[in-house]
Amino acid sequence: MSPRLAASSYGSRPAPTAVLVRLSTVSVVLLVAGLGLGRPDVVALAAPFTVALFLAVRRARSARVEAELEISRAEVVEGTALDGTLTIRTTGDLDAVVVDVQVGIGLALRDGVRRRAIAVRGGEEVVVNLGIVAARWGHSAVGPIHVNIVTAGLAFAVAVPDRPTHWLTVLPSVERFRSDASLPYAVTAAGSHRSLVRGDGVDFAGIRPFVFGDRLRRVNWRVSQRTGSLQVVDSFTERASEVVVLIDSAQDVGVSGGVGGTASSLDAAVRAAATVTAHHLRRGDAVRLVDVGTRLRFLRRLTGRRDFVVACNWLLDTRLAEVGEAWVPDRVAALAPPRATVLALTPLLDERMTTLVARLRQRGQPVVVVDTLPPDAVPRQLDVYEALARRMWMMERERTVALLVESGCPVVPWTTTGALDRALRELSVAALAPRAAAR
Amino acid sequence: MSSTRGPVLDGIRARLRAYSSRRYAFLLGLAVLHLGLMVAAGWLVAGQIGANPIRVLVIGLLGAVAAFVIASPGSAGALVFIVGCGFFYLMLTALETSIGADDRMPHPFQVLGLAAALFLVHALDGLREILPPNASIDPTVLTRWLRRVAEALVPGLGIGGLLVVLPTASGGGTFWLVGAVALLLAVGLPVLVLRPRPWAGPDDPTS
Repeated sequence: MSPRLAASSYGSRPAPTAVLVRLSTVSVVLLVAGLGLGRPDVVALAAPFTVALFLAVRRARSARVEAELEISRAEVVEGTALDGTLTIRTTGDLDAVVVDVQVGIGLALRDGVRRRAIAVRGGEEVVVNLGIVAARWGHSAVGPIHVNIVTAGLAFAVAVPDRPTHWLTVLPSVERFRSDASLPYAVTAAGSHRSLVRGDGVDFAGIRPFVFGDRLRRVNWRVSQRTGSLQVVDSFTERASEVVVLIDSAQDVGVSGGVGGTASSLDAAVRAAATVTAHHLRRGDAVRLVDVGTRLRFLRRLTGRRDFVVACNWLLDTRLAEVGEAWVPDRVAALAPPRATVLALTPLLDERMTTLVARLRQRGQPVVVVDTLPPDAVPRQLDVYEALARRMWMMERERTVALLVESGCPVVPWTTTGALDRALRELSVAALAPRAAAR
Repeated sequence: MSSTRGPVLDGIRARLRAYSSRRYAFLLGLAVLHLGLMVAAGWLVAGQIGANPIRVLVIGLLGAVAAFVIASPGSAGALVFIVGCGFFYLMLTALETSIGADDRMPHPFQVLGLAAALFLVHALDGLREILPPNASIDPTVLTRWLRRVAEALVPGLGIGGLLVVLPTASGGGTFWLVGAVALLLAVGLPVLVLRPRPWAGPDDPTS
């Protein structure tokens, strides 16, 4: 059972409202005037008010209201509904129950309805779903929630204490990403990830001549008979690799429309980081997360599926904030182990990020740049000068991308996870290619 | 470049989406109905607008209070309007009778119409007070409200009609009996409800 974030139970008898005061005052004034002056028409004016007063008091005396407000699950994933309910039990009819739910940025209300008014029949138990949906990753506020109950011809009210604000953790959604591409370098000796290192494994790598030390069960007798010399089946080993995910949070461009809507560059980066982290942790690889935003922030080396929750919680703090230490490319480059594959999630708007990627490539590090700039987040062109500026900006950007590609760093947009898979394959193929060695 | 304050703008957009023109049209309809009832009550109080400056003054005063009631439902404006209508009704009918300009006794339908209009002004004010401007309103709230209004209005008009129509009402025992019982209820019920009850436990949250 999930822990309850907030719950309150409240039972009360109705208390008079201004409507009751008005009914009583009008009745008394008109009746006194009518009786004092001997005017039956004035007493007739008071009659509906007096009847309403009598009925209201009679109804309110029999009413007892219990309201229970419950919000469960302090942690939800983007796009899921929050279990928030208001349960009302009453012995008498309730004319109106007005529920006012306030939510912070990142949460949305179903159909955009913040307030709703319902009526409850006596003896019924009504459960009102508050209709809160987690729209965007982050720490979001739920509440305060006001409940206003009126009964007996609106003449009595039941005061339900307001629920104070609670903080809710909305984890980023993880896209389906399943890549069989092998990472260029294996780091640890064992794992479930197919490495490019040949040895004992399952995946077929090729046929090669027998050398001393090869196991006899690896000899391919059919090929050996055809070639006249002993040939063995070569295979890729299963090992674990290390992945460093660089998140560029220095800028957040584009409109954040929540899950299913438009994504800003930071949304794309966080969701991509969560997706990639989930994939590699599932494969047994180690993952390091580094936030190179306005300031530098990084997380310890993660291994195993359990660390995914740690990664998600860390990713929630990725925002445009002046926290952490100021960074320079060399400092960040030092955080990446030499044989780790680096995934840089960046909109390519910060020159420091481009320098960092170039520095990593100079070290021979396999780097894939995932372009998180949303397609609609390009400079507007209102007049001829802005059109010119936009053209220059786009040319400069294309040049940056071309230089990165030329340096052996694939640049893929984060539109589908398939693009990232292709880029990883490119990296592994590039790692297999012969290279010149300095002598 | 698009704004970097995407989440903020998104929140504002979500709030704007929450404002439905249909809901506002409904509330506007309620306000128009409320105003219409107050105009009807004023018309019934003042009789017909003629050259009499007192009537124009009454209409003007009630109109000002009515505008306040429309602008701020749930305030004391509705109480002032209803009591004011009763006061002006008494004053105008007494004045016309005393100066002999119009020896009129209000028609029973006029009295009952005024009683109904004043009660509906009161009931609509209560409804407009509890309904928030941008809420999703369940139809049962309105049907329940209509039923509550009818439950009070129909017997109330019946009793009022009896008082007005009976020829010996003002001199007979029915008037005094009904009036005394009504006054007893009007004073006694609120006292009964509002009396301090030290023997009752506090209705504090149970958890």
